[in-house]
Amino acid sequence: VPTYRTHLLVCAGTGCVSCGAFAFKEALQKEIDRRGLGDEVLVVATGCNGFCERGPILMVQPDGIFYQRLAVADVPLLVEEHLIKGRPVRKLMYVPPAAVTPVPKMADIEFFKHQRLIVLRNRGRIDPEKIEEYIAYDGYEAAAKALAGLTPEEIVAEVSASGLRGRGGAGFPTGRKWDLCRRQPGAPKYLICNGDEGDPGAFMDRSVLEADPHAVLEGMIIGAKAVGAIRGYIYIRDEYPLAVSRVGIALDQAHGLGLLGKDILGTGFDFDLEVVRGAGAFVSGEETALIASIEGQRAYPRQRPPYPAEHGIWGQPTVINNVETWANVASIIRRGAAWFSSLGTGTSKGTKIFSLVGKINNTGLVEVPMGIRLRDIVFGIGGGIPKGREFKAVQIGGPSGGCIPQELLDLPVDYESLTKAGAMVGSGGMIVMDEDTCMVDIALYFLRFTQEESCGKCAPCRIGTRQMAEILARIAAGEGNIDDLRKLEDLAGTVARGSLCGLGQTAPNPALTTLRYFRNEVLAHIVDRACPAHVCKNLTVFFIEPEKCVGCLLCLKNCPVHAIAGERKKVHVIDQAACIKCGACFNVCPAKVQAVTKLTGEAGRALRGGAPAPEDA
Amino acid sequence: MILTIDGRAITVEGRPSLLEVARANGIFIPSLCHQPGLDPFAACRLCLIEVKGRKGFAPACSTTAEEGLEVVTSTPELQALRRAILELILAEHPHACLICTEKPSCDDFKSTIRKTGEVTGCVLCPVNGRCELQGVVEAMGLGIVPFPSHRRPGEVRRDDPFIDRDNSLCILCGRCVRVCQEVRGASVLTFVSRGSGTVIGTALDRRLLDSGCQFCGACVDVCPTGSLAERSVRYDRPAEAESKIVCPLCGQGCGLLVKSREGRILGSSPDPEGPANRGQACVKGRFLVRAAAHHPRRLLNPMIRDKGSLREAGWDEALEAAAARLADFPAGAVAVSASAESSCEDLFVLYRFASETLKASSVSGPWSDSAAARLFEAGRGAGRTVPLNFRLSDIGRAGTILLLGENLPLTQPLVNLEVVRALRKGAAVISAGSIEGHYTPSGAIDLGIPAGKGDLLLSALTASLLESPGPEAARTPGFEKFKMSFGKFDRAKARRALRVSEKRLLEIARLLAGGKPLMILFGTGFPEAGGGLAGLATLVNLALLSGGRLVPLDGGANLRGGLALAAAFAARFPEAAEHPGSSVGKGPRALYAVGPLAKIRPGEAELVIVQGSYTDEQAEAADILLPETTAFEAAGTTVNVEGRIQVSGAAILPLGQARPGWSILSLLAAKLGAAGFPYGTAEEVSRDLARAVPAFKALEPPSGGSAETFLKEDAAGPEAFVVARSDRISRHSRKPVISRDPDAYKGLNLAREHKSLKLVRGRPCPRS
Repeated sequence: VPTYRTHLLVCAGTGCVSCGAFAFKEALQKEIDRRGLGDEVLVVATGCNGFCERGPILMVQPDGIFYQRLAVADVPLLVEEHLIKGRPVRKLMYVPPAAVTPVPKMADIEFFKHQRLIVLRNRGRIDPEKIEEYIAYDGYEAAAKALAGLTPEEIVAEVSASGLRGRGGAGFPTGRKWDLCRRQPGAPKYLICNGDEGDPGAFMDRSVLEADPHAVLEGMIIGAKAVGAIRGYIYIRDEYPLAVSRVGIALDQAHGLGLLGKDILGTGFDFDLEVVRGAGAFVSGEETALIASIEGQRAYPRQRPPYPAEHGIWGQPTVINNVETWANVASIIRRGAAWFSSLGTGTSKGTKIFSLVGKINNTGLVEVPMGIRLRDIVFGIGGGIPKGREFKAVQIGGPSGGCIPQELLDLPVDYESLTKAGAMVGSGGMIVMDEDTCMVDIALYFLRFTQEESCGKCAPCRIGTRQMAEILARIAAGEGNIDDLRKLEDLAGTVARGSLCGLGQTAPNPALTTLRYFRNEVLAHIVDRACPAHVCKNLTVFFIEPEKCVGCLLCLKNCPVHAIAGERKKVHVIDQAACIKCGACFNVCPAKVQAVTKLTGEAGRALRGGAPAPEDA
Repeated sequence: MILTIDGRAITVEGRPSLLEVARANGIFIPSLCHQPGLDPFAACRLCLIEVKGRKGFAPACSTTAEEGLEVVTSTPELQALRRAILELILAEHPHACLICTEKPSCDDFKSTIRKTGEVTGCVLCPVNGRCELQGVVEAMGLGIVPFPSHRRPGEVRRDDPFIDRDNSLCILCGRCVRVCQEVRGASVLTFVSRGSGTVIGTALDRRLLDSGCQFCGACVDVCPTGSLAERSVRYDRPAEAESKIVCPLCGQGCGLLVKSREGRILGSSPDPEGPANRGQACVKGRFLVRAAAHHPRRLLNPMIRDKGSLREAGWDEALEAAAARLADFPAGAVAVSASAESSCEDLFVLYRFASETLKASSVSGPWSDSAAARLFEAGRGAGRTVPLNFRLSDIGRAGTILLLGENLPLTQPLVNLEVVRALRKGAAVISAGSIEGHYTPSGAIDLGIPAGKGDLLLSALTASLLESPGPEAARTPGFEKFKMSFGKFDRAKARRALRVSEKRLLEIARLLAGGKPLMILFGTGFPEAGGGLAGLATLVNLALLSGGRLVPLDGGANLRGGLALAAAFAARFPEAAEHPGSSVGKGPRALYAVGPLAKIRPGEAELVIVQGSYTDEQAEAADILLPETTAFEAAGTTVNVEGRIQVSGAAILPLGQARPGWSILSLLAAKLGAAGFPYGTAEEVSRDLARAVPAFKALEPPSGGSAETFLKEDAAGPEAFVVARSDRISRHSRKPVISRDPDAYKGLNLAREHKSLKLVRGRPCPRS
């Protein structure tokens, strides 16, 4: 095996790829060859590092230097300076928000510093398309141990003892699920990996499948031995082409090395896996709907019990786990349940991956120990809110979750605490919102999402989410009344208690947490007919402050409906009757001027009433 | 096991759902999506209940009864939740009338108001009064719907035969989709779109006609609202009477409930208690009974030929004329043809009349060339009695089914349902037929072969099975002789001729020999032309080799009854009744035809008397026409394809002057001075029949033709291989296989004469 003095690890996750990582890597390789460094420096395409906002990303090992936001044009400088002269390029390094000095090493960057990698342990360090690299980092050791040395009972006992719970959202103890399936008399049995990640703003499953597909495969091989399954399906939504391709490559390689198929590793154990591509309905992520989808049926959930562990795909006992859950298994078997359960809280063990998005400085994917405080994620890892805005809420768990307000920022992140707060771990989406976010608008957004993505099977979810969304739309339009709050809460109860599957049962959560933590904001919409965040169009007007306006014509030229009157060096005026509230004027008004403001409530109404008609102007 | 519902201890057997247990014990739980016979769906959420020790609420329809469960069906909380869900459902269904306080007084003024294009309230709805949603709203006592209402977009779809689809009335219970898929195996209706935009529709929003719909009407029957409605009865006034009949339009023997008003049939629907069909029917039984009963070509008066043209006559005059003319012919000079749509009573009297009174040369009927008759004869070739009776449910329980060329939805709709059932249970179904297109149920193995190669396929399969015959087959008498006579078989040549790969053939042979219960279904269409008895011998041997059960599938409402009577009376005629349609040979000079008549060349017969229910050109060439009742007007006994004896009631009184066949014949016999005639009632005839013909012993009291009575068969002889003799083959292979039109009833061809059925049948053969 040839050895190299330096490894250049180019991040090839979807985020970096979309920013041009492949072109960068190609240019880098060319330059290295041109400079005759081909024998000394190795360029590797790795899985996602999680710091997607900063792509394309390059790690230089063994130096530990972290470069970000790279372009092809940076290549000659980078090679010349760092690789030949040994002087790291400071201008390509990461500068924390509100700081001026760059942080050269990955280990020192806040975003990475507080993370604890189990599932993502191989991210950014191996080429996910090379099984040898996975094996080099102890890969398939756990599978070999399980197949050769452990009985199914021992594997189940180990997973149970680890305290691992389902990472798909509901948090069902994995060991218990496996045990239930293991005890079923029926044969054959099946395994399913649920990779139908559909929450808005969530991409942890994609990242795991792209960065370390073999970790999922290994987890499933161990699971197969534990429950006695003969076949498994990895269901990946088709919007993840890179994940589909990398898992496909991983399966081929595993077959090639005898890690899948007949007589795995010579232990006499048979197990095989195949990829099934999902067709894109959100509800397919519900386990019974997903099973129906693999069977070729419409992705409709069915009533449980019976649970898939008893009556799953093709009517046979089936274990269905989320991507992240499967990816935890190998580490547990390799390092032991005691090690795993030493991380986390009393009831939530190990780590959890969250996708940190929204109004936050460090957008990306983070793996943190269970029980970490929300504040540490948002302000520690996430680096706080951009542009000096105030934190308002963090939405956790997507359409099934809820909005956690500032008061609860010290909440430990675990299954029980989040559920108690009205949100849920869900698949792990975290959308951070600042003061410019209207909570009525957010609740409406999520309800419209569930209304559209409801499969339409059961009445409470299909009709109830629609009625709830209509009430919220009424409130957002300033047409709500105080009775709507009671109606909304009643409907939420009906939908939550009456719906067939988890989608409907949790669909009211975003609205309920809004009513719980942001009631005053909702009341402002109803009573004052005001949107404090200046988001709801019907309740907001745009206004040019005459004292501030410099008459630059920018807003006038950018107004798509020509609703702004004025001349150079003269104060511009918005015709409120013509204005469509697109906000273009607000966005283009120079930061130094800031003459365009938003008004709501009484102030806004007064303005609208008193606006001069165009002919009078 | 014992469980508790609302504090009541209830003993339960089997594994029913809690909803079924509650209903059986008179405990009301509202539900809209549950439908007996379909898998639980748990979508309407009205049947939510509480089970002690379980979190949240569970739908009773999909919760299985278990020992010791403590169930609560009605708490204030549950009632409030159900009410809220019902309110939501009503927000998407026109509900003005449902919650209207003026409803009782409105009833007085709504006699014709239903003739409207769009249904905006119950008073305008085709199922007003029969609607399950109305029932649930009433039971739950809803007074207000506190939500804005939504009308589901789209117009009433009226571009299909028979069925109107109105999505604005749909509550998305999914019963139609499920019955179409689970029971009918058609999967025509489906959920389209999702979320609040979900509607019931077809793939690509095509017409039912273009979506492979069988128009069985099962979706209409399970629809709890007026969303799916039978167009022709939409605007009818309510029925006065409902009677149970056995559908005479094919040989399946479906029980039908026929609604009538003022002596006319309004419509029909499958009888949930029908022993053969259990609530299912086909397009004819569901939608065409009225058209068949009241067709314009219905023969209503006796007619006699007078100076060259037919004129109406009274019964006395017509019977006198018939008797007088028949008396002129000596014994053996009158040929008699019979119909497979006559009841056993009619046929029994006809056989007696022909043999005793007319001393006719023969009675011919379509049964002589039926699959059942040919199978029986092939068995006799090996000196054994092959059982012809079977139970439809046995097909549903089969592990492997070999289907030979039958277009089941058309010819054997109930058999098709059993094949669908077997497929759902995981059976392997091989459907062999013409490569140009033949029916293959969804999920079955489609084996298309070139025309005329049916025999070759059977031989190729036989050759494969002979490679390693099971021990049982090898012990069967005649095996060695058969193996020798089978000789060498050129497989490569056969494969080429069949255009089937070796792998495929082996796979199929392996399935046949797989040891799971095997049913081989065949009709007269297979083996195709050229096969005859030789093909059937191959089939009998193939069945022996594979341990399969041969199931002959024939059409004709009473074909099996006719076959049994023909066998019983065979000895009384000089020549075995064999050739239908060739009744006027050299000997006979007169013809007495019951039912449809083959074309008679001029001068071929001196006298033609037709006893029938419909007129046509052939019938109008007759000398005397005697109007016979249809099965809708007269009670009678028939034997269905299974060999099941069923007694049908009459839905309406005889139309015009029509009389039951047995009555006409016995009056005529009496006029001819025969002893033992006339019969006064149909019961007298069937008593005589039960006494005279052993096969019908089951008709004798006390069973008297109740649900589970079958033709009595001779004990099956010991199994033995048939070694076909070439002389027999050549004699039979000359004869063309007569394929009976499956849509004909007593000479009325509905596929040709009913516009809607014409559209349905005019489509290419469904492939799944």
